[in-house]
Amino acid sequence: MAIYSFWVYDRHCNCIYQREYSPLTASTSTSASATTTSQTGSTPRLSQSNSALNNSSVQRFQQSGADNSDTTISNNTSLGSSSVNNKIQELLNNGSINAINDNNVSKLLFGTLFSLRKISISLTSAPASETTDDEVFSSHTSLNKFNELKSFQTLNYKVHFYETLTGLKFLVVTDPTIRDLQLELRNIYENHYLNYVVRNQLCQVEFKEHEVISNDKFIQSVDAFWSGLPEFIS
Amino acid sequence: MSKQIKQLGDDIWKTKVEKVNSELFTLTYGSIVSQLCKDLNFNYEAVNNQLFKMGYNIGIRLIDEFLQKTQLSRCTNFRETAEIVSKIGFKIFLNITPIITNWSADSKTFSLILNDNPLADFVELPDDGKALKELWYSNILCGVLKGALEMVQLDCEVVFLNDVLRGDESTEIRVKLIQILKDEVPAGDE
Amino acid sequence: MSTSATSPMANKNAPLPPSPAHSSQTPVLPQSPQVQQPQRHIQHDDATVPTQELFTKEVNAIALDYLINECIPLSVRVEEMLLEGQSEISAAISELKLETAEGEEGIDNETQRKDKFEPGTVTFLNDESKFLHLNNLYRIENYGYEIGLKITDCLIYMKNSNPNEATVNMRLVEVLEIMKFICRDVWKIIYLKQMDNLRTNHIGTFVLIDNNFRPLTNFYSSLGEEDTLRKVQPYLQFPCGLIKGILTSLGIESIVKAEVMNGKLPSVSFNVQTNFNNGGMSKMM
Repeated sequence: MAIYSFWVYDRHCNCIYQREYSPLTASTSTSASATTTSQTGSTPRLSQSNSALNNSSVQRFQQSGADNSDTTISNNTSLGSSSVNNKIQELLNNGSINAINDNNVSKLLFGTLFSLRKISISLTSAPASETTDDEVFSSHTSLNKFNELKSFQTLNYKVHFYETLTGLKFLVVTDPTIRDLQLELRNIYENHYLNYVVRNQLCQVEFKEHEVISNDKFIQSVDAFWSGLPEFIS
Repeated sequence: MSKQIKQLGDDIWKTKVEKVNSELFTLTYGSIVSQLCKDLNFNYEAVNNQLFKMGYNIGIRLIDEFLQKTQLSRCTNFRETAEIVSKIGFKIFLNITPIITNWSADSKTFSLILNDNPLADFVELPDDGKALKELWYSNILCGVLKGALEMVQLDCEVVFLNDVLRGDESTEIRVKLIQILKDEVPAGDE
Repeated sequence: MSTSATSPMANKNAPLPPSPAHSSQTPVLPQSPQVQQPQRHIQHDDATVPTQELFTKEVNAIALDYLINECIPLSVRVEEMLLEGQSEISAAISELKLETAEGEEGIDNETQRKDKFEPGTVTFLNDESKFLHLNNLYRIENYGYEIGLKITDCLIYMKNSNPNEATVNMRLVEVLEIMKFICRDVWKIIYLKQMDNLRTNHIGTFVLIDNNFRPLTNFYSSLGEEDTLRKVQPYLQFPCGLIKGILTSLGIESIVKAEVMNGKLPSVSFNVQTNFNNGGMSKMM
């Protein structure tokens, strides 16, 4: 289990925050399911440094027995708390912040979600709705809560997704075994983003191209939030 | 539906909102407008414009506060939007519930009648022969609505039609849906 | 008390007494009628509404927060307009253009600037020559001052009409009592918390400390702490003006300066120098 990276895109499709925690690496060449081949193809590029490649995949398998038990996990944290804390600290220190907002991976990740989101809606909406007048919003705005995209996954990773009505998109890339984290993403929007971006008079809420969220408070509080989850480290 | 919306607005106001005295809010806004009029040499058109901009800036941020408090999902049509603006939006921020009326035939335009306006309690416009005709004292509200609605993809035109401060019968804000903004597409796509 | 140089502007920031002197900024400033403020005493509106009800009306505190915050970008925009207005006038004079101006240059500015206005951004911070300009600081202080001037009566009235409050001995004659009134009542009603500390040297200087000043709880520049402290000054002018305004309304002249305590927001201290020199005060909060 691990949380690999966290992304925020604004309504103009720009990546306004990007944080890498653990490098995501293609684990022991288990190929991904057929439906998501194209995504797996790009995964190795998510990893910025390959140094931890072996470590992370090995550890993940060692711990996999405990994955489904919350109690075991919390015990782990309390028992070896200092070593766990060290590990967390190491990940936080080594991970990059806003380093690859505009690169290809970022764009592909967004594009993939964008397309999946579109598909999930088009599959269910009546074709006629495309031509109706403006009176019904749902034909234009693709967000319909029943067809909301929550996540997609390969054998290597899982991408959790939360979109606000204001068009912000929160993404977290994790190990595929991890529980659904949409609520956590929502929490980040409603608390961390609201406090440190919206309520921060020195921070814009309309980002121009290449502008990113870079105030320390946001970074710290979001880091503390993710690293406080039992699922954070592998 | 309308009842549920009202209930939600009332509940949020009662349980989830930190409150300040309304009089203080009125005085604060009044002082700002008064100062602005002086600074802009009683050019009321410019004052209206600045008030609108203040509101626009606020609305763009306030929508996130709104969504956090309400946890609402997207409206299905503009009539629902109107209900939510009045019974939840106005309710949870200003503790008033404007009346929705004067729908246009195409359901794209409606009016909000503010029987009670916390921005303008006990306010009198200056008797300089201009203000009564030119100043929209509470124009900040139009900006807030404009900004907040735009952020949820509703491109609207929001203007004051009447204001009791000017001697009109009622205080009326007109909201017109211009278009529903499409999702933006990543650069290079399509 | 912070003695560090964490707030560079604080020192340079000479007292900015709100006074009509400001009008020198604008070419002409007729002392024409102002927007009437809400009347201080309520008896002359709806006689049917009991006073009690009037003073229990409330709005969301967030609405007031955003309104006050928005004064700062507003002030910067006003500053820009005034500067542009001036330069346009001089340009018009030098070019001797015909009757295009008609004295409505403000509107022309507006239309020209329309595309420049970008809601939701913080571009107003970019030009520090305007953002941190004395005119701007002064104007923001004046927003606070005007409000301070007007709310005192209202606050005292509210306090006295609230049956839940112990009967208030509103003998606001002693400066110390007035300071306590600001710390407790004013702060509580505007910022929803009281000041944390009040000190005095007994010869007219007071230090009011708020360890968690509400408007600045989420105030962080993306350029780091130093930049945050640079940019905080305009945001401190407002409460300074507020305190000053309240004191003025109670007949006390003062100079109020604020600074961030030990460079750590949201701790703010307000240094209030009054013209009150009577040493008759002994009790403290």
